[in-house]
Amino acid sequence: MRKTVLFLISVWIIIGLLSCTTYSQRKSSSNKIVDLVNAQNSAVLSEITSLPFLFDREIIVLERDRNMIWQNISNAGFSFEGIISTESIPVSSGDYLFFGNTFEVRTWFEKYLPQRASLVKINTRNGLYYMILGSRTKVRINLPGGRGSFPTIHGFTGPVQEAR
Amino acid sequence: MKKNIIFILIFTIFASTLYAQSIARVAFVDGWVDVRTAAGVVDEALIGDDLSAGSSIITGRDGYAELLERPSGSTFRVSPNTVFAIREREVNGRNESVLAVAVGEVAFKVNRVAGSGTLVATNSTVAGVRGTEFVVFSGSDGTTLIAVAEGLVEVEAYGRSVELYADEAVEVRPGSPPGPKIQLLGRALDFSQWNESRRQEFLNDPVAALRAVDRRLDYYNEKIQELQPQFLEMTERVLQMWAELDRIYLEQGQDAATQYDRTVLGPASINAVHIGLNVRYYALSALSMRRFVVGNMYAEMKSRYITRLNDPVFIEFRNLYNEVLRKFEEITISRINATDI
Repeated sequence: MRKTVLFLISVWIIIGLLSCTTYSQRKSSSNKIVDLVNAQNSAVLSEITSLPFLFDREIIVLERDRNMIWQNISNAGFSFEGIISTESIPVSSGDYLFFGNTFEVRTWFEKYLPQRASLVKINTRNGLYYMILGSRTKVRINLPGGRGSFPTIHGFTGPVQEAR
Repeated sequence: MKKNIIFILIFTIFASTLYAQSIARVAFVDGWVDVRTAAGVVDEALIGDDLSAGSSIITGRDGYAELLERPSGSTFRVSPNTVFAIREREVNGRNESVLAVAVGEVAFKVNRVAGSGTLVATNSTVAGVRGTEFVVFSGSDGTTLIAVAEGLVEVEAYGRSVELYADEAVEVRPGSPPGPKIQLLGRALDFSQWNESRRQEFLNDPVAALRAVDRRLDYYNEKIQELQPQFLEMTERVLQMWAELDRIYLEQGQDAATQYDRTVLGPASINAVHIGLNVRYYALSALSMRRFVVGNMYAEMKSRYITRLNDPVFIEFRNLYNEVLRKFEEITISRINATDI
């Protein structure tokens, strides 16, 4: 009986540790994206952003438009300044309201949301941003910071200050 | 019962787009090219893929595709960063294919026998074509440029038509009739350069540009609102005719019922399906404008102004954008479905 209890406690501890590892990996993924945004690395951001990409309430399907978005964001000098907290949680189809309460956004979540994706909540001094990150992809382009594995970006919205 | 009839008619319209016969075939692909089927499934385009009404081709920055229309043998060359869709609408009691350049560049080489024509649509205009070579540029601000190399193209918007012959072009801004003819004098047009000039003009006055697009969306909305009551009235009449068919069958027998079905009920049902098809055509046209023009404009503005969202230019633009989306959700969205997204 005692052995069984000890065994169960051990299993519980191992599961707990494993889940912490998964969490820290996800956290690390989101930090990588934050670093890319803060470094204004639009080339790598474009490369790891999958299509159709959800940008606020817009579904972006062309590579040209996706690249334009990250190029403009970088040119504007945007960065996640004064991060208060970063949280990464599994995303579900019900989370569409973070991006917008429209038929198109709802449908994007139902049709295009990858199975293994995280909703990353980046709380900054300037407001709250949400990103949808998928599994890691290897990137190898001839630019600074352009080598390594990064999560794929599926959606980005913010700063969210009001209900849409 | 009434709901069942409406459902059957809507299903018939939807099914006709899903299972319609092949209109074109992918003859060549290079680089990143996707095909989106009428059922809304997006996959890599392969040589030999059939395209029916409701399907579209999406090319990446290095993508290029050549399509072969059947049975005419007309060819459509789809350039990079382009969305090219095949739609369907009713014209004079017949289902006609409409080749829609939602955004980007498509070069057409159309073979046509006398008396029949091809319809080419963009976000701002519709062009009728007879045996000709021409190129269509559909800009990210909703403006269209059509340039003819050979033959005749008739470009129409807001009740004004312009006939283009070889070496002539015309620009059509959203919400406006065609502009004056442009004489090309052998000059080749560069889509990227032209689109960049359209983009700069949009950035000079984004609110005016979005307002022009809103006018075009209002046109589609008016068409939807004009046809929708007709569609409902026709479905109501078809419903009554079904009841009449039952009565005739019981009182006069099978032959009389068959005769009634062939001469009255059948044509009325086809008419209802045609009206429904046109409602859907205008709804898909509005969706194209909303996705590829309004969406692009918003993405451009939001990403540019992301560090100064309180700038009065952005605030004015965003207010109009919210209004455009509100109208779209109110009028258009109920006429499209998840497969269109």
